[in-house]
Amino acid sequence: MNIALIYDIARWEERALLEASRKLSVNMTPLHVKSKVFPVEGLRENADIGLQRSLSHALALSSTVLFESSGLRVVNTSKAISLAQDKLWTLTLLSKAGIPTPKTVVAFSEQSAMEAAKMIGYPVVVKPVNGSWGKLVSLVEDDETLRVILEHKAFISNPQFKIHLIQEYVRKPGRDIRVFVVGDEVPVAIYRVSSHWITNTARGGLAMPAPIDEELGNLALKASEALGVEVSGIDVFEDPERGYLVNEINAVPDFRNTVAVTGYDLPAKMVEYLVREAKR
Amino acid sequence: MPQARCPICGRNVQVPEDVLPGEVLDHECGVSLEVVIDGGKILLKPLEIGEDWGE
Repeated sequence: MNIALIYDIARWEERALLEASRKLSVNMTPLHVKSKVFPVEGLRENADIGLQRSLSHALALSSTVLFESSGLRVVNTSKAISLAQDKLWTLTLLSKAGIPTPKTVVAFSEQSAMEAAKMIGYPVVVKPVNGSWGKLVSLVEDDETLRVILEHKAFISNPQFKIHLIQEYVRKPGRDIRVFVVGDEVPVAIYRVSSHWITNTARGGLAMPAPIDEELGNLALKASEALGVEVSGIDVFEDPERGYLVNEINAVPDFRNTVAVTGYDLPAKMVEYLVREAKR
Repeated sequence: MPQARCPICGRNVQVPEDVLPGEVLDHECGVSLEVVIDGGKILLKPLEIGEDWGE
């Protein structure tokens, strides 16, 4: 059994996965995508399965496509990664699957973004379709602030920033929930607590163990199924009236803080899942 | 333990025996460094956070 650990930057998470494999007597080979040259028909690796851990969205997707092209089964699949990377795509699929999400409107121009905000009602959250770690996500209280933000975005050359997701501001109880899904299990979850409205731990949110009730577990499984992700981190808001709302799905989730505060051996769980999948 | 030179402060950096290409090392001068292995030689460069990095 050989698992390919596909990565660009090796952080605590990648070291933890290698260590978990060693403890489980499973061979895991680190594959640094930036050190490789890939023919378009794919790169044949001596591996039974791959785990995609690249931090760069572009590298994660492209390298998964190339490994899949050579016949290697990669977790998550290129399709699941591309769906999860795109917040609009994610929200449409979640909505189609009947999963509650924050009310969101999409606008392709500054003028329609202003209309969208009025439709939702201030305060609103403005975010790009493809972003990470809470970057370029703004809480907007009024027309004038939105106008300034849109004006600034107009000077960003990347056309993706001209697609505006305007979302209702969910009055979270000072936290959100990160739920981990591995295969058909929901092994662990954390609260991300912050006095700031952005609760990402990459932005200073404090991680704390969170209970997983039946409703949350089922919701996380349904959400991962809607996108076809196998190993994921699902971000859930708690709305005072509507209950759980799924906000985002992460196909290459960070888990250092989760392991630190829960003591749960998530890397081992992932390795065990990969071994099971490779044997299928 | 292998050593490499910090491109920022010029001092030596202790590198683990089993260091990986792309590994992030935090140096005492305050900079995060990315390991580059070129023809078996270990080099360090300042870690530049990519625009599309993250979950």
